[in-house]
Amino acid sequence: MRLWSHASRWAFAVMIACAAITVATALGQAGVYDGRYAWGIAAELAEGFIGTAALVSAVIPVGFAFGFLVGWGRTTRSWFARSVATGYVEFFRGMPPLVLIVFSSLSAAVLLRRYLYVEDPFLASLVVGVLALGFHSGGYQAEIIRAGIQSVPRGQIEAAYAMGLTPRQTLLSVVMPQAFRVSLPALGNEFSSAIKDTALLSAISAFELSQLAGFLARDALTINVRMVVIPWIEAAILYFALTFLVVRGVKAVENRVKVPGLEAPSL
Amino acid sequence: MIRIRGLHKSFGELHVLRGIDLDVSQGEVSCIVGPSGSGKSTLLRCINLLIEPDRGDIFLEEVRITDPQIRPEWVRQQVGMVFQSFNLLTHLTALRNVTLGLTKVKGMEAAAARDKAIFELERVGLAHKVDAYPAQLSGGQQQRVAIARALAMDPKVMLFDEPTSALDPEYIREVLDVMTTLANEGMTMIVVSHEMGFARNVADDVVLIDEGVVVERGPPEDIFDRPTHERTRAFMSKILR
Repeated sequence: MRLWSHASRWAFAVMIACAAITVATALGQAGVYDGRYAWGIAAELAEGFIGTAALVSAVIPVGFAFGFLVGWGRTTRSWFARSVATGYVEFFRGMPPLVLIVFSSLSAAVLLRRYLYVEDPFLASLVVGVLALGFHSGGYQAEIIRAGIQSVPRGQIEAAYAMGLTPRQTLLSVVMPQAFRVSLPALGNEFSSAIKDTALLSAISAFELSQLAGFLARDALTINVRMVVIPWIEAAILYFALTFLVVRGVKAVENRVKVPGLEAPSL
Repeated sequence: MIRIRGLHKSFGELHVLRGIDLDVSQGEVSCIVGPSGSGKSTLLRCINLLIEPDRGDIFLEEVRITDPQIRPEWVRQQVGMVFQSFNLLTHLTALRNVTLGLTKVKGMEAAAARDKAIFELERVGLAHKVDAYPAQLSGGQQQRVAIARALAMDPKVMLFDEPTSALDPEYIREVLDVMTTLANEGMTMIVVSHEMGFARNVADDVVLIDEGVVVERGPPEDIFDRPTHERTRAFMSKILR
């Protein structure tokens, strides 16, 4: 089983590599490559990479914090907390992230100008757009956390109560640690999708990778039409690297907190 | 030590406990038997307030614990419970399963809690398994850790809810041995079990519960060999073969 999955992973990697080499060769035949141009824009794209990484490092923690809170809220006994949490999940999962980002950020800009007389609300409205994307991811993370909490067997909670732990202590010392371990693989999945969603923030002029790639591609048009793919190829590599890093990071946390008998099913 | 009067509990339409009266004195081992669905587990869970009774009173050393003013956590500290399915916390080692209650509930220092936990794990013969996770232990070992975990809180009473029913036959003995030792040391115990050997040799009192009421109680010899009630006779003939 273990061996098979290891072998299949390698087979898959080789397949992907072959496909990439084929495409790269074909593009080479079409005369796309220009080494000097590729290196020239790499430095600029690196800055875009840092921008994207900064957005990711805001979106994921915001989503995680709200996901945890809302996911827990969905499982409480309080009718009020459950309604609010359910409303949150339904709303943020039901909205296309692009609509959410543009609508909230434009609204913020208009309102700030109208009521607080902010002359240039660009930065504030950008922050609102980033938060909106974080909330969107939070909607998905909340459902992951909720499922994790509900997967903790009733007997675990009874055992904690039976030794005299309060409901609050039980939540913090028993339910959350177990729910967290079970949720990690699914959270990693959601993180990787949140990373790619940050490209949508280019709609509100955030400085990030895909916006920069677009600009560079447009400039390339004026130099040599065939070079337009180069910025996008480099952006693709950088997105892949960032996602790979984050997913590896989550995996490392998973291994660190792994306990026999409480392994979440993972690939 | 424990005095129960007129205890009632319903789950929806199902009237599980229909006026239970029960007395267990200090140092006594009381064995509760009865057909499945007769309310034995519900009764045990009422005693540590995992289930809130609808009516009736439970006294623990003259304190009326069914009083809504009483904090259930205060009661549970003094009433240890061992479950049928062990219920060790899966994310913690054997040692941490025992220390959790000591540090969080009793407020002990980590080092003192550790010493106490190791002492209790030695008592059940598992000093060599302190760092094992529940999934790395056999059923019998898990149940012994669960007993050590309950004992560490220095309870006044221990409740056992079918402690050997989920065990493979080869592990039943080691758990019953621990329980027997505990009884001989003078622990007050209420045991729901169909281990008739244990009931006969260790229990001071056997209580037959059926359809939510105490049908008959008395010393094991009387209940097993000379039952007076028809229902007791019928039940004994089924389980004694």
